[in-house]
This record gives sequence, C-alpha cells and structure tokens, in this order.
Amino acid sequence: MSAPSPTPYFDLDRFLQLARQVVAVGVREEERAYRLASRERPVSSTVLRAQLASLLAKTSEQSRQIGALFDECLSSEAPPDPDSRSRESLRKILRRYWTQLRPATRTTLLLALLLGMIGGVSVRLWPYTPHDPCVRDPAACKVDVHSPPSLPRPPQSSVRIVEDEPARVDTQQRSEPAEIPARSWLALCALSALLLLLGVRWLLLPGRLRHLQMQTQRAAEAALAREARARGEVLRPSYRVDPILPVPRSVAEDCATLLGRLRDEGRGTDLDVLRTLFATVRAGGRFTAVHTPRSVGGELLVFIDDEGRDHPWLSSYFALIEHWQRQGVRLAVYTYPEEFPHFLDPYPRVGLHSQPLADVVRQHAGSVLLILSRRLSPDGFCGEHAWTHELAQLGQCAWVDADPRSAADLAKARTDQITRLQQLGIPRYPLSPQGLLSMVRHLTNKDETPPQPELAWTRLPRLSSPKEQRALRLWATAAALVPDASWDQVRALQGALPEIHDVLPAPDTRSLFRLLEWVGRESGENPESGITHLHLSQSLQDRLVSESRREFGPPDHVGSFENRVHRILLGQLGDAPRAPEQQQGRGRLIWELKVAMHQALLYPGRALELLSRFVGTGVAPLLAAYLRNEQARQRHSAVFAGATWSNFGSIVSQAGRVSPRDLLLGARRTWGMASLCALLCVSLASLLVYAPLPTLRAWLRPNVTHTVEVEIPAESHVERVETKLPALDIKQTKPTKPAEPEKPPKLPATPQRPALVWIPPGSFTMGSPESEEGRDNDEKQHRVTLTRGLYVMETEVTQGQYKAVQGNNPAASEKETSDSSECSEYGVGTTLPVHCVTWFETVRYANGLSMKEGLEVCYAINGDQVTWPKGVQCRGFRLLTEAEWEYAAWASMRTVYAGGNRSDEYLWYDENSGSSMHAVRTRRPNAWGLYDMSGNVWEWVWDWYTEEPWKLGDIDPVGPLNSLDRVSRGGSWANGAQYARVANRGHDDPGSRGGAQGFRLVRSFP
Amino acid sequence: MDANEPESLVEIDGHELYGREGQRYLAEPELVAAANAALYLEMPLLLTGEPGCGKTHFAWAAAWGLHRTQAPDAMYQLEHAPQPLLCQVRSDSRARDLLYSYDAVRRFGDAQHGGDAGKIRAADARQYIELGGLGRALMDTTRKVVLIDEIDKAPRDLPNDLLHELDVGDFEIPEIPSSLPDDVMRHLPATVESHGIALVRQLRRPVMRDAHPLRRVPKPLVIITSNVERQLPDAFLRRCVFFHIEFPDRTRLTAILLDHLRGSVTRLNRSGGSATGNELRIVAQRFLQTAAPQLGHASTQAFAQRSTPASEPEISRAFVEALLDLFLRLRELALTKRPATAELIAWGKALLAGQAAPTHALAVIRAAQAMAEAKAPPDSATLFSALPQVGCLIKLREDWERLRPRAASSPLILA
Repeated sequence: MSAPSPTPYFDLDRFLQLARQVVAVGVREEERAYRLASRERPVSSTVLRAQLASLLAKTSEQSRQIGALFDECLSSEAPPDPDSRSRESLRKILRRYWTQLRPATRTTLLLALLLGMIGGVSVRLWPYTPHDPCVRDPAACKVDVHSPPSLPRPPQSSVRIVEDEPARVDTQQRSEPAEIPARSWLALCALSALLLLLGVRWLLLPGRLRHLQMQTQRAAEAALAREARARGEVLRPSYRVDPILPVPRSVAEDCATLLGRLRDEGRGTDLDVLRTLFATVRAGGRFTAVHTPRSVGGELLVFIDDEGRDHPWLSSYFALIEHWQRQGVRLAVYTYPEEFPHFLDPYPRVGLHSQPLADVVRQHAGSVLLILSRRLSPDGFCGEHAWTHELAQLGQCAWVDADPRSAADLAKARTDQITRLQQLGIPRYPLSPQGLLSMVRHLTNKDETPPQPELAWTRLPRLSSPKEQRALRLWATAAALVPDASWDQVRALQGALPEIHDVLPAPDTRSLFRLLEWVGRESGENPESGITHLHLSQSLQDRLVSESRREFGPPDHVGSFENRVHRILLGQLGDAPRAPEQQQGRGRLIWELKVAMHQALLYPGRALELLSRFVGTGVAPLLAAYLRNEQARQRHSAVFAGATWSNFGSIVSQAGRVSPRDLLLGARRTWGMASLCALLCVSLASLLVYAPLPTLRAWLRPNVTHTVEVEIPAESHVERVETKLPALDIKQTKPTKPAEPEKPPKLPATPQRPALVWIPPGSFTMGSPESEEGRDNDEKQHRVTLTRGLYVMETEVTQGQYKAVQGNNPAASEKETSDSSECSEYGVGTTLPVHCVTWFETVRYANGLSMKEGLEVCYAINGDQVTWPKGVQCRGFRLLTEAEWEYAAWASMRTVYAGGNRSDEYLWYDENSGSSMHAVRTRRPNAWGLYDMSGNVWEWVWDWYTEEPWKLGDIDPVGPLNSLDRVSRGGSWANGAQYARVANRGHDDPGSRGGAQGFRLVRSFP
Repeated sequence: MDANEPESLVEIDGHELYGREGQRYLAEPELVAAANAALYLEMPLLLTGEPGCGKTHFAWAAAWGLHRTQAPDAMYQLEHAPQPLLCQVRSDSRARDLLYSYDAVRRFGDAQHGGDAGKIRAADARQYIELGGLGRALMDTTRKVVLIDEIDKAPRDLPNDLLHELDVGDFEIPEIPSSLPDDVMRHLPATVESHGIALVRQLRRPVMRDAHPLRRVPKPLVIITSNVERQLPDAFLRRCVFFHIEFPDRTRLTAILLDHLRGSVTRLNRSGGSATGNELRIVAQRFLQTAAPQLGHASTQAFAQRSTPASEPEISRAFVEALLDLFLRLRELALTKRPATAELIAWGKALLAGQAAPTHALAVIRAAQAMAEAKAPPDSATLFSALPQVGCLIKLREDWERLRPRAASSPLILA
C-alpha cells in the first residue's frame, strides 16, 4: 500500500504488524486501516498519521506510540512494484503463458510438436522410391515413336492392313502413387504410438489425480459430518451466523403470551396446610380444605419435519422453539427425520429414544398439537395411514406450512389434500406474523370463535416486478460468493444488504421462497413443482458474478457490491475461529484460508503473499479449486494482475503436479487400456498405408490413368486403320442404384378431385422435440409405423372440385362460420380450397367421390354417427388418419413446416397471406410433391382428439373411439406460423364451419 | 456491517470553524483528521481531555464544518448556525433515553382523566413517544452531528447498550404494539411523527433516494465526550475513533485568548488617555522589551496570524503575554485542580470587564514582570496574592490555602 504522495512510501503491513504490539489489532481494525490508507483522494502523511493513531489507539499514550510507529514505517523510496510490466522480454512472456497452461494442454502441444517434427524429418530423410521401372529409369522406357514401322507397301493392293499402333505413353501425364518403403512407415507408426501412449497416460493422470484428491477429501469431509451428526452435534460452520427468527421478535413474544393461556391456575391436589389451619380452622372453627393452586393444562406438542436436515427454515423453527421456551411456554418437541419415517425423535436428542406416533400421543394426551411441515398429507404420516384418528386424544391441532403459496395457487391435488386435512381438524396456517398469531389463537381458544385460517393467507403475487427481480439477482449473487452457504447465511446476507431487504423484507418466508423460485427459473427447472433446494450451478454462479462485476465493478473497488459482500463475510468470520474444532490443526487452516480468500479479492495487490502460504499444505486442493473458479471469472473482469496470475499458475499446477514416478507407475487397468489404444492405432495406421493384401492394396491405391495418343504417320497409305487400344478401366461416374420396385405413377387431377401422389409405407417419429418453439404438450415424440402405401391428394380439395361432386359450394354460401361471419367473405373461387365445410360434409364428399370413381364406399353415415367398417383397409376415398397426415407432411425429412424450414416459401400463414385464402399449388411442395400441407387451410383428419395419442398404439393408429373434437391439421392463412408446424395438432367440433377449415382425402393403395 | 460510503468528499475543513457562541474554534489538525476519519468510517468520535479544553464546543464546530461541505458558500451567522443534536446524559440515563422517551404517566393520565378523546388518544402509544437526539439523527435523511456529552456520567451499561445502534443504526420501540385490533385501528391516525420522522415499531435508517446502487444514508457523526472518570468498556472503545485533546500550547492559547478577548482588548488600547493608561503603556513597553524574550513569548507571528492590524498595540500584547505567563506558571504548581483553558478565558474576561480594566491589567503585567525578574523560583503567595479575580482560576479551598498560606486572614479579593 503506498501513500498517495509520490515521494514518501508508507508500508502499511509493517505498520500494522508493529502496531499489534501496542494495541489489539483485529480483522476489523485492519480492514478499517486499509480503507483509510487506500482512499483515492490523496491525504498528506500527517493527516494519515493522525487518522491511524485515532483509529487504533484508545489512550493518549497509545496515540503517541502509534504515531512514532507511523514515522518509522514511512520511508522515502518505494519498493519495486511487482506488477509493473514496463519491459518484459519475449522469453518472460512465453514463460508466463507457459505456466498458465494446464498440464494436459502442455502435453498435447508437445506431442503435436514432436509428431510434426518426426513426420517432417522422416519425409525428408526417406525419400520415396517408386516401384515402376519406367519412373525410376526413364531411359529404359523410351518408346521411339518417330521411326515408323517397316511394312511392305504393295501398290494398289486391296489388302487391308490392320496395324497395331503401339501405345504412346506420355510420361508426363502418367500418375501413380508413390510407394514409400514399409519400414520407415512402420518406424513412424511405432514412434507415434509410443508417444500417444505416453501422452494418453499423462492426460489421464493429472485430471485423475486431481479428481481422486477432491474425491477423497470430499469423502473425508462427508464422513466427518456424518459422525458429528450421529453424535448429535452440530458442525458449526466457519461463518458466524446467528439463527434468525422467522417472524419479528415482538410477534414471537405475543405468541408466547397467547400460548400461556394453555395453562391455567387450577385446583391442585396438595393441601395447603398453613392456609387451611389459619384461614379456615382458626378463623371459622371449621375444617375446610384449601389446596395450593397449581397450573394445569396441556402443553404444546410440536412435530417438526426434518426434510433431511436441509430445510431452509429448520434453524429458524428451532430458534422460535427456543425463544418460546425461554419465555416459559411448556413445549414437547419431536422431529421426524426422513430416513426413519416411522418414528419420532424427541428434540433435543437424547440417545436413540425414537417412538412411534401412537406412543407419543398417548404420552401427551390432552396437549395441543402443532405440526411444522411442508409436505403434510392426510394419507400418511410417520408411516401410518390413518394417523388422524390417533389425534383424537389431543386437543386442538394446527399445521404451519412454510410454503407461502395459498391453497388457490397450488396444484389441485394438493389443494384437495389441504381441504381434507382441514375437515379432519388440522387447518393450515402460513409462517408469517398474521399466520402465527391466528394459529396460536386457534390452538388456545376456549370460548372465542377461532379465526378462519384462510384469512391468514394472502395471495402471493407473481414474480414480475423488475425491482424484485433485481433484488433477487443480487441476493443470488451474494449467495454465490459464499464458499459454503447455509440457509442461515443466506438469510443473514438478506438482512445485511440494504438493496435486498428494502425490496424483500426480512424475516419473511416469502422472500426466501421467491429466491428459490427465481434460482429455479434461472437454472431452467420448472418452478411450478415444489422447490426444496437452492442449487446454484457453477455456470450460474460464474454468470452472476461476472454480471455483478460488469455492473458494479470488481471486488477491489470500494463500494462495489462484491466488495461489500466480502466485507460482510469477513466480519462473520471474526477475528478468531469460534468453534473448538476450528482452533487448531486443519480446522484452523481452513479458517485462515477462508479469511485469506476474501482478503485476496479485496486487496488484489496482496493476493500473492496471502495465498502462497497455503501451497503445499493439506488445503492446497481447496486453494487450487478456488483459483480455477476465479480464473473462469476473470475472463470478464480482471481482478488479479497478470503477473500475479503467472505465479498463481505455478501454484495451481503445483497443486496438481505430476511426478515422473506417478507417470510410469499407476493402475494396471489404465496401462492396459492405454496399450490397447496404442495397439489399435498402430494396426490401423499400418493397415491404411502398408496394406499387405493385394486386393486391398489395389482398392486402396487409385487407378492408373493412361492417356493415349495415337499418331498416324503421314506417309502411310494404309486405308483403314483400326486401332486397338489397351484395356481401359471404365470409371463409373454414376453409381448404379439397385433396381427399385415399380413405383405407382402419379394420377392426374380430374374435375372432381386433385391429383393423387403415391407415398410409400414406412415408420416415422410423430411429434416434435422439446426444444421446438411453440410446442404443445400433446406433441410428445413417439414412433409410428404405417403398413400401407397411400395415394394422397396433391392439394386440398378446391371449391370447383367439391361443387362438381356434391353440387353445392359451402364456401360461397351464406352459412355462418364459427366466428359468426359469412362463409363467402373468406374467398370464393374455383381454385381456392373449399372452406366452411363441416367434418360431416367431408365424409359425405368422400363417399360421393368413391361412388363416382367406382370404388368402394368407406364410411357408413347414420345421422351424426359415422363409422368406417373396414378402417384403413378400405379401397375408396377417405380422410387421412392423423398419423398418415403427419407422415405425408414429414415426407421422411425433419423440418419444422411441411417441406422446409422457411415459412415464407412453403406455406401461407397470417403474416404473408394478406389475410386471405390463396389458390392451391402456389407455394413450394414438400419432398413428396404435396402442396399446402402446412398453411392455407386446416385439414380435417379422421381421428378424434385426445391429448395423449401416443398411448393408443404405434402401428396404423386411428385415434380414440370417441371424444369431443375431431383433429384438424396443418395451420391456415389466418393463424400464426407455429400452428402450421407439422407436429401441431388442432381440434374442433365436427359440426363447426370455419373460414379457414378445409380438407384433403386419401386412397389406399394397393 | 453497513454499506461503505464511496468516495464522497465529505470532510470537515479545519479552517474557519465556529464554536457554540459564535467565536472561532481553532481545532488541531489532528483533531480534524480524526473527525474526518470518523466521518469516513461511520464510527463515533470519542473525545477526552481536561475539562474546558473544548471537547463539547467541537460538536458545534463539526456541525458547522459539515454544513459547509454541503453548502460551500454559506456564511456563518450565529442565529442560523447549525446545531448538533444534544443528548443529555445523566447519572440515571439509560441507552433508550438517547433514542426515544416514552411518557407513560401522561398516557395514563389521558386514559384516566382525559375523557373520550383522551381515551382514544391513549390507545395509541405513538402519541407519547418522542425521539431523542440520537434517534432523530439516525433516522434523518441528511447527515447530522450528535453530541453525547460526558458519557462517563452515565451508568456503565449505557455504552454497552448503545453498541448495536452505533453499529447498525436501526432500533426498535417496543412500546408500539405490532398489531392492534381492527376496531381500535380505525380511530387512530395512520402515521404519527416525532420531529418529522414517522414512528413505527422497527425504525430503520433511511435510504438515499438517488443513489445507485441503493445505499443507506451515512450514519451521523456521533461525538462522545468523556472526562475519563470511569473506564469505558472495551467493546465500546473498539467501535470509536479516539482522540485526546491536549492542553493547547502557547501559540494556540494566545490565539484562543485573542479570539475571545477581542473587544475588551481593543477597549483597553483606547484607554491610553488617563493616568493609569499612561502608566500602563510604560509598564507594557518595559515588559515587552525585557521580560518577553526570557519567558519565551510567542513572536509577533502569533499576533500576525489573526486578521488584525499588523502591529497590535503594545498594551494588549503585553497584557495577553502576561496573562499567559501567569496562567502557565499556575498550572505548573501542584494544585488539586489545574486551571483549564475555559477558566483562563473567564479570567481574562473578568479582568477586562468594567471600569477597573486598566487597573487590573496593570496589576497583571506588574506581576508577570516580577515573575520574570525574580531569579529564584517565585513564591506563589506573593505572586498571586496581589492578583485580582483569581477566583476564576482557583476553585478549591485547599488550592487557595496553597496559594496564600500566610494570608489566611486577609480578605479575598473577589470584586
């Protein structure tokens, strides 16, 4: 720490060290001294002297001494700044980056370098010698082309001479792969395999070492905690946090006062001898017994739900109980731990005196009962089902729930349980001042009418206000900064930071519940389920801390949020560890490490010396983990300077340092695995290149390409030259497909129906993945198989086609649609798809079309009852089932909409349709040639609507037998794009007409 | 742990501070540094020192200094000077009395004899609560100065009971019930204020409205004075910034005296016309020439520091120097109660009051001259027996005896 005036330099650390001999300098004084000395505004040394003296001294004599010490520590020259980076040679920079790398990275770099070097060296030292003699020795292969062959030339002969022209080989255009001698490759492979082996071993080692170290340490700590718990002790954390009452103290005292009504002054059984004698006998001459008054009445029986001893409000419950006991309320407290649900343990625990519920109730007959639990249900408690009958021997019962949601906000099943409990005589109260007071009044009422328990509950508003969100984010950041957080710690942080407890008042059960909700939401969990734990994942912690640093500044800035939290935590650690197990040995070391960790962030200049003394001790893994976390967070804002990090790098790597002995020795299994890997690599490499088998070699080596030039000598009078070319390898440019079975042709459109496209049978996945935007819950993915090929209509049925079959056009009629406008408003035209059709009308059209084409009729219509006797085996026209529709729309691809992912190209939806229907075949089709599967109009399908279609079978599913609505698919010109997704399922009353509701038919084939 | 105050430049400037009665307060730079440390660290300032060395007056000086940091161009006016909030500590004070006081008797009287209106008013405890000095300052939206005077008069529990309030600054008023029945609440006013602060059961320090991030108003500057009659508890001392006001040195004493005796001394100068005045001038001149260098008088610098004409007339200078000489000599004597600065100022004022001012001045200068010329240590009896108005300095009978052991029969000159 340097004084701001440039010339004199003040060594604050030395000053504090010397000052410790005169006055008591604790952590708090140190921190205040640092604050004084490190103010941004420069102060003169006299002023600083006076301030430090007045801070630390308590008598004038001490002030004088401290003033003298100050002068001693004030020197005129500053020591060299370890952070100055004025001139750093390249070597130093390289060295710094080198030490920052992890051992694994270093190894891979070295390996890559070595392999590269060896590869280059081998290529250089062993030049390839091709086998082809012509290449090796071009002179031997020369073919003299220019000397013509000597042949007799008969004049005007009719002999045809067929000449064999030698193939002229152009040496330049010949290409052949070079064959590198086998032995150099083998050597290369072997060497690389060996390095790979060592590298793999090394890679496995440090991570594993670290992993093993952390594992053993965690196991040891868990064993310690378990032992302590078994002994009944509470392992005190290093941070001194007092348990907080869940309600203000005044309310707790009021409750205690009200609970005092449980006991009355009643007639005792002891005879008050003196009073009997003097007041009655002597005064009245007659014996009248006078009894000493005795307080009679029940006591308060409390059952506390342990929830595995990690309950957010558990310590505050105990604080409340102890507060009441101090006020004089007679209590009997039992806990029911999770691991032994059949028994109740008395609190405080004495030995193993667990008792079943019936015994406890019998013992405390006549008391009133208070249950503190979050999960009470009338179906079972302490392993017994009909437990509410047991409570007949007790007086009033009540139940306090720490969950601040009122019954209206909970799931229906839970609300039913709560109502049943209330009917059984156990009303539910919240853990709030109003709730506790009402509960106590209920328990202790004798003549008054008890207040209604519902009045004590207030609705919990949704978490939406930005101020609340911000306060919760800050609270979660503060909780993320604590190394070992406990519930009391979380609440203490709330109380200590004004940003939080101004918006979320403390102590309030709702605030904690809000925090759990918020954290659950941020981590991606569903906040509707009961949140019971606060889990801040590492990525969430890093994110929160980086955001806080970005907004408020790094922790060494005075006044930044992180700075204040660290100061609070330092204050909680105190000047000396409080618990006896922390006062020496490892416990003390851990306490000192925590103090140093906080101070290192507050004063980064001293971080190195603060933390370096823990290297090599038993807590080094903790230190290394802490530094790694900080390294991840430093990416966003650097707290420690670069030079400090280079030293830290050595610390971190030292913590996981690998010695050569560890490298060579090790588990046999690791060695076995590594050598197996290496063997595999060697064989694969040699296989690829060396290839001993000839056919394999032939396949591996690319074919020789010969280019042939034929030259006809000018003097020759040969009339016909037949050239015989050597065998050429015919290269197949197009791979021949295996012969496909005959595909049925596409049937063209007729005036009564659109064209029919054949689609093959197959299996597909119906539904959409959970990550898809706009997905509903009824789109769970499941596999469906269709066993029949289908002729699907290429487009939706148009108005012209419908009219040709049925004789009327419902789209042009004046019938009312389901939104009370006329059908004809939505578009009338021959090529527009027919709309305003009810589902019954489509079925009739299908039958009509089947009859017109001479196919069997599929549907038996009986008023509102429509059945299809033959199901999917029917040969006539019918509606698609939902599975068939989706299969046709997918067209064996996985896109969002039918055909592709770009909504503008493939479909008409509300944003590009201009609020009107469009003619069919005006957008791009899908892969099987079907138009408008997504968009334009909804298409009726056969199935009744059910929310969980995957339960109905996966081979040719046809939907449930009955329901309220029929399914319609595909989206429309009037709806948004998410309705046009292939997986989206719409449903509607079959008798309704819609301005965007059309249909499409199908015919089975064969 | 409270929110740290960021680098706001709230610091008291040591120049131009004014004390309680409007006179200049010359604070030592170390005292100002200690006060600034207390301001910055939000800790109370504990001042000890002899009685009359200016501990209590420093609270007014600090109030003026704090006011000036917020309004730098303000001019000091005695009528509108900022006052520190006083907390009177008595021997039966409790810590609660510094925070608030609850008038139970009046409430009882209202309930019994106040009629219907009284009964309704008596139902509300808040009407009978008045916030004390410390309570008001803690809940104020601006930063104030609180003076807890002579805390060692109070029982020993008082500093211990104040620890939480000094640390955090929130306190609870248990007399206000946390919940009242609805039919009673209907008749009561919604908020009741005391000195402009709404009374609730749990009072919290206010939040600075336009601060980002949200912060509480910094704690007030609590100045605690102690005469060190009782040893204060250790936990309390650790929460305080401590300063011991030493007895001022001669230069400062001169400056202080001149500040206080400004008017009277000027009048003394103008009395040169009479016979006493002439003699005064001669004696003064001789004193300054002969005795001043021996007694190590302050040079003219001390006089030149004040905003006065360059050459202070000799009479006033000689008078002040002589007064100081005698006073310092008196302090060196082994008296039970040493005279303090306030008593010196009172003596000076008494000497210069009224018509006899030149006579008194003459006597003082002559005595100082005699003291300077005497070779041997002077006999206190002869020296001080002739001095007028010594009753301002000597308050105890045994000290009187010590000063004039042989003149017990002579009447005390008190006029």
